Amino acid sequence: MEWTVVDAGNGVTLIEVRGRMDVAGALTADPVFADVAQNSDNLIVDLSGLDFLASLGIRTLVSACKTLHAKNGGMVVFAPQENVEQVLRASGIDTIIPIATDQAAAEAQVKL
Amino acid sequence: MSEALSFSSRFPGSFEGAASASEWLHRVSTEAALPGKLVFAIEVCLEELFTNVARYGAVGTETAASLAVELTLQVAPDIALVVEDNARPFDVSAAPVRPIAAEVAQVQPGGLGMALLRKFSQGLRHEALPHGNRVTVTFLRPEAPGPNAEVMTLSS
Repeated sequence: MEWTVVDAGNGVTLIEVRGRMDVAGALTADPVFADVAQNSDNLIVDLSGLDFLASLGIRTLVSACKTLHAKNGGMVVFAPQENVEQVLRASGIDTIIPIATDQAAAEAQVKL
Repeated sequence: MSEALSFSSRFPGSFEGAASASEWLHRVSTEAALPGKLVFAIEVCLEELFTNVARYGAVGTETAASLAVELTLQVAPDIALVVEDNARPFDVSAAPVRPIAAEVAQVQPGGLGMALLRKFSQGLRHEALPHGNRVTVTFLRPEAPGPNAEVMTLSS
């Protein structure tokens, strides 16, 4: 799994993730998401390049969301592939981490 | 495909073992030419069951180092993943799906995997073993288009 962390401006950090957030991927991504959540006001995550997500990756996303929320920050993911979106919705975390269609919509939504 | 066909392998009941199991699943799924959407569903269920063993299986009975998971992927005539462990007894088929809390502060990062198991499998059966558990997860084989499948042509 690969990722890129970008300052999207206006207090928003963008993480682009690519590959598979499986057991190995989630374990390596977890400290990255924790660090970004701790040091950012708002986080948007580009999931368009993510091919796999399951329970460990969900845990990583929820932990980051909770850290941001505790600071009155927000988190939005966008452009997931169909299978990944099914995982997000089946787990129920789309109720706390909104799913946007693209980066512009995510940026607008995360600042609400 | 009517003759029985299955693959089996044994892994340490750890996160490293879970990662190896994922690689194994991809290898045998490719060998069996399973469709990608089905492999995705099987892997979602495998990760949830395997990491449950790694995370909670040793409490009170076994030491973590002795935990082991034996996997069998049956690809014909039906699709099933059998996960057999030597962990503490846990009937995953009876575990409730916990609805996510409305307030972010109340949401627990873990424990959401049961919903994934239900969503991505067709059936879930638990058997208590003398020294562990056997969980059988069944899946629907995606239907291949038949010879009479309607062909749609889009035109502008």
